[in-house]
Amino acid sequence: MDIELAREVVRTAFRSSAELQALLPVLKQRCSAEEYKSYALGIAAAIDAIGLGLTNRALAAHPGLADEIESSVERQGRF
Amino acid sequence: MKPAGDPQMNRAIPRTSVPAVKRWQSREEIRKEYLDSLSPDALREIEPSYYWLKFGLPAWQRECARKYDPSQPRVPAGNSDGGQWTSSNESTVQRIVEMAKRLNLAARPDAYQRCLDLCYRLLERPQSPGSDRNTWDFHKCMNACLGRNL
Repeated sequence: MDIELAREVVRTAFRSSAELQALLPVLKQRCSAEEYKSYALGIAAAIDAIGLGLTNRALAAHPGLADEIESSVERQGRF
Repeated sequence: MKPAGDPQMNRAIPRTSVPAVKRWQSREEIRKEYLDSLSPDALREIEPSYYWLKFGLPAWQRECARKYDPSQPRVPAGNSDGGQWTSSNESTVQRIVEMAKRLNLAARPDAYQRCLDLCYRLLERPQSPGSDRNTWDFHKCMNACLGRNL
């Protein structure tokens, strides 16, 4: 996989994760604490699965990408 | 015949202490019992990962459970990172990721659940739309906690 495609994979993984994260405040507002925690952990597990299946794979192919993501997130909050 | 007061005739029967019968314990239970008997300092020296599990994780969870502090410094509105937590938050993230590394839960059967429990709060932080900060920090936390090497 070329690095440009690897970047696209990571960006897509981040977008999907952001969409799942957006549910958290809504769930917190409308569910009991117990129910919220159960959903929050489910969302975290889903985001981790995305990270493991996509981000980690792309980073394994292009290890230098990790520093690129880090500095981009540091600088502008996003990759 | 020796006189009645002869100390050799009145020797006290030595009391042999019979150890109390303990129920069977697995090696892991014996080890846990031993670790639990140690002082926090000794435990930190002998088994740092168990120390953090016993003392560090609950302390961190208590810290996270505290109400969100609206006075925490933020990047001013108008910047691309407007509203995001600033340096003090970064040190919190560092601390969490460091703790995740120290916990080194990878070998435990409940490792995944414990790591989720440790790291998911990073996703709860308020962030500006389109920010990847929480995702990236959570990703690093899970990798560190589970010992995933990249």
